[in-house]
Amino acid sequence: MAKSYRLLRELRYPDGPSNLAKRRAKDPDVVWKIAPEGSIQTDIPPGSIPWLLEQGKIEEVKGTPSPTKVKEDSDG
Amino acid sequence: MAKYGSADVGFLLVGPYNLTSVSSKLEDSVTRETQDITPFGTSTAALAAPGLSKFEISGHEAWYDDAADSINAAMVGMASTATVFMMAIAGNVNGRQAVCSAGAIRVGYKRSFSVGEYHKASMDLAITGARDEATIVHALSQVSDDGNTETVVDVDLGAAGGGTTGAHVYLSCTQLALTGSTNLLVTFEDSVDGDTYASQQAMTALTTVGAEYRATTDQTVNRYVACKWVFTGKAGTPTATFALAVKVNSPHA
Repeated sequence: MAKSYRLLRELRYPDGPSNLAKRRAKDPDVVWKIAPEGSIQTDIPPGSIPWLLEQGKIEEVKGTPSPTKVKEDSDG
Repeated sequence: MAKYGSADVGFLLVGPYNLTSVSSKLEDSVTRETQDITPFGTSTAALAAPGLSKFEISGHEAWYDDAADSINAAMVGMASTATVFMMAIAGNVNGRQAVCSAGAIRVGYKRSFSVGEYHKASMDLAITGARDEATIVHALSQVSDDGNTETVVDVDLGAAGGGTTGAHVYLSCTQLALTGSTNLLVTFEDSVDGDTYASQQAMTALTTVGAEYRATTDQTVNRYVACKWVFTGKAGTPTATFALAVKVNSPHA
C-alpha cells in the first residue's frame, strides 16, 4: 500500500506514471498535477520522495487516515 | 564560450516598460571605490578597496516613443521609487543570462530633437544595492492560459547549480489582460530531479502590469528551476506577457 504524505509546500508533478527520462527530454504530452499545500497525497513520484522529505517539503502521515465517520442518529 | 551582439539583446525592461524595440545603446557599469591609504615613509602610493561597489546604467540611446509601455511613459514622470531593471544580453531564451536589479532609480531623462531626424530619448539609471547576473526562467513571451515553464523548457543550473543561501527572483509583466479573471499569480519553483517541482517563492499577485523583486524565503534552491503561472478565478481568455529571472546565491550546494 502506498504511503501517504502531507504536503508542506505546493508540489507539481506528472499526473500519472512518472518517466524521468521523458521528463528530461521535455515530453510535451506531460499532464501536471498541482497538489496544494496541506493536502495528503499518495502518488508522489517515488524517486522524488527522499529529497522532499529531507528538505522538509513533505512529511509522512503515520497510520491509515481515518475514514470519514457518519454520525449515527441517536434517536429511536 | 560565445560572442553575442546587439541582435542577442532579448529584452530591456524598466519596471513593466519594454524598451527593447526603441533602444540602441546602453552601458552597464560597475566601479569599485578605492581609497588612498599611502602613509609617510613610502615612495609608492598605496590604494585599498573598502568594499563599496557602485552600479549604474548610463549611455542609453533610444528613439522617442509615446506608447503606453515604452520609454516616455517609463521616464517622463521620473518616479522617485526604485524599480526593477531586467536586461537579457544573450538572447530571450530560458537558461540564458539576464542582468537584473531591484534598485533602478530614475536619475536622468533627456529628449533631443533635430531637423530631419527621428526624435530621440535617453535615460540614466542609478542602481541602489546589488546588480545580479541572473538566469532567465521564463523568457519574455505571452501566455494565454495557466501553465509552467516545464512545458517549454525548464532550467538546469548544472550539477552544482543549487544554492544554500536563497535566491533573488525578478519579474516584469509588460502586458496583462485579465478579461474578468481575478489576478495573475506567478510562482518560482525548484526541483532536485527535474521531475517533481516544489513551490519556492510566490510573487505578489498582479492585477495590472507591474514588476517585482523577491528574495526567496527558503534558503535551499535546487538544481532545476522553473515557474508556473495561474490566472486566479479565470474568466474569458486572459493573456499576459512576462519575464522571470532568478539569481541563485552562493554558496552552491
